[in-house]
Amino acid sequence: MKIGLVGRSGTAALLGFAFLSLLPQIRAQFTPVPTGSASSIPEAQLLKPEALVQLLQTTNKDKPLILQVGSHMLFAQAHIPGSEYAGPGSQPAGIEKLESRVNALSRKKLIVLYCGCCPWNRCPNLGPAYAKLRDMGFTNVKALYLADNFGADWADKGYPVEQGY
Amino acid sequence: MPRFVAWQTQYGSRGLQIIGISMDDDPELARKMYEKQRLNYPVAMGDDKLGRLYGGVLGLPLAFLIDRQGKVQALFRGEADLNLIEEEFKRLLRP
Repeated sequence: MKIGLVGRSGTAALLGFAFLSLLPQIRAQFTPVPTGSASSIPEAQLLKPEALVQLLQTTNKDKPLILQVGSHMLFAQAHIPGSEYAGPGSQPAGIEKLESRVNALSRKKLIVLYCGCCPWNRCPNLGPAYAKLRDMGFTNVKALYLADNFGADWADKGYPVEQGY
Repeated sequence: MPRFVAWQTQYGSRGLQIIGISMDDDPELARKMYEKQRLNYPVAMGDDKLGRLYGGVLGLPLAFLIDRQGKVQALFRGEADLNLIEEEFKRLLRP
């Protein structure tokens, strides 16, 4: 693969080191687990990928609402078919978008949140998004447990994905 | 990030160029972080197209080590060992 990031300075070509990241995530990287990370979500509320796949295959009516609460760019790269982008949970604008999406719903509605931007205990989005729904009174909220990220724990396992907006 | 700043300072004259790419939706986040952390390397906003050019970005962070010929020599997924990354690029920096 050739990447057009390497230029020339005088006669010496540059060696490039490109680092792709999310800034709320990188703030906490290589430091102790941040407060409000996905690790703050009770274990009983976690849903394993295989359980969600099974749920999607067996539920005919009253399907869960699946919301991606990470970056829009990651959603565009790949997301769970039928899921909706709800805004990054680490940002106030994302929380507002999430609130407006679910506000009219029954507080008993099954809602599955997921992100998968980064390793579980580093995800800055899921914890705040989960806390918001809990505070709004939702009683049936699950968080999809993606240990490393969406690629490794969902796409690479052959579970269905969609690209685009 | 402090480590990247240190690398750019230490190895920049030997030809290392670090480039940060924010995959956030809001460029203001990148701007604030750039100023707060006093980064000494450029930070660009990524987009869907860039992600696909890099082979698809389905998890972060990702680090690409690109040699002087523009070829990706190494890809580090997740919280990679920074000492290992440093060893890898030092090897490529050797004349």
